[in-house]
Amino acid sequence: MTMQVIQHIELGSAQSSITFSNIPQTYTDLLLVTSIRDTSGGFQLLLLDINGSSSNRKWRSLFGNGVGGVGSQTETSGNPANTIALVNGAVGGPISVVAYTSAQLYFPNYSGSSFKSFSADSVTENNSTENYNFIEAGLWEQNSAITSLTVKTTNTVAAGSSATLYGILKGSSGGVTVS
Amino acid sequence: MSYIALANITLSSAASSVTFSNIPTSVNGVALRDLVLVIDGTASVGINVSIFFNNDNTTSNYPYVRMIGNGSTTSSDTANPTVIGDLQTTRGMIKLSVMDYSATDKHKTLLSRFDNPSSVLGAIALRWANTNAITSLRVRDTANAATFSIGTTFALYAIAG
Repeated sequence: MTMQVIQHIELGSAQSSITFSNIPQTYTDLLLVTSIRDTSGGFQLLLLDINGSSSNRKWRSLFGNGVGGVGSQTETSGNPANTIALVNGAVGGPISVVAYTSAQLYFPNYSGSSFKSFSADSVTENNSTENYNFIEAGLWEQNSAITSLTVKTTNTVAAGSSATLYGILKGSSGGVTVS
Repeated sequence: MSYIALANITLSSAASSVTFSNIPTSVNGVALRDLVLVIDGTASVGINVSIFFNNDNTTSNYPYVRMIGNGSTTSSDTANPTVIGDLQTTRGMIKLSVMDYSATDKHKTLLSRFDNPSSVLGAIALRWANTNAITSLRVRDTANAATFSIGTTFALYAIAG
């Protein structure tokens, strides 16, 4: 099977992070799909550690907020090196307003022996006029295989947040040729 | 099985282009709906990457719109038809989806994300102005001068539907 669920984690209570450990090295690419909220109010940061580290990272982002704000940043712009996106925090309104940031990260060739690229797409939602569509180009400047991924937020990851890790395996079928 | 690996290549030498041919509309009786192409690696110099379907090299048949950021400024343009993203001399990636590639009653639309952490990133929406089913795709440097580097990978998948 080309695409398989490796693990799904959903938080019954607030936690410091969501971690996928001992990632099998039998796939080609990884896809991480998250639904995340921070326990504090306002917009917070969505962060990602690779193999337990927030270091050795380069990234470049592009974002818009729906109220005229648009920008592009890098890992030298003042945010932590392991920044992936913005995430909405807790809101004080009715329970129906509670929403989670959706983020999707793709890691090609995660088990290879070169630096690791990744691509991140995310969108916040809090039923107001200001929300963020945030995309990021990431690079983990290590030759090691990726064996763990840890998702966290600026403060604490709220209950109800979830993450699913998929493995994708390249292959051949249907008689397609490549040259 | 809804996500199907069709073909892949890891370059053992630099290549000016990569072509996927004989793309079917079904596999083992399962109809295929969309294509996904993942490119991960580098180029000999910083390049725009172009895509051509079914040997159609008429660039005006590939209108596009792009949004792009370089870490400090942002822009948007429609100036470079056929382009699906950038590759640089430092590691980056392009991931694109072609919707309804096997349909014969519509133009084909493509959404691409390109990511170069040391240079530029962005998103592209492109249309191939042709109603034929896609049976081949070729990617190369837009200027047709540079090469994809050794170790760069290209993987093609299909989504059933």
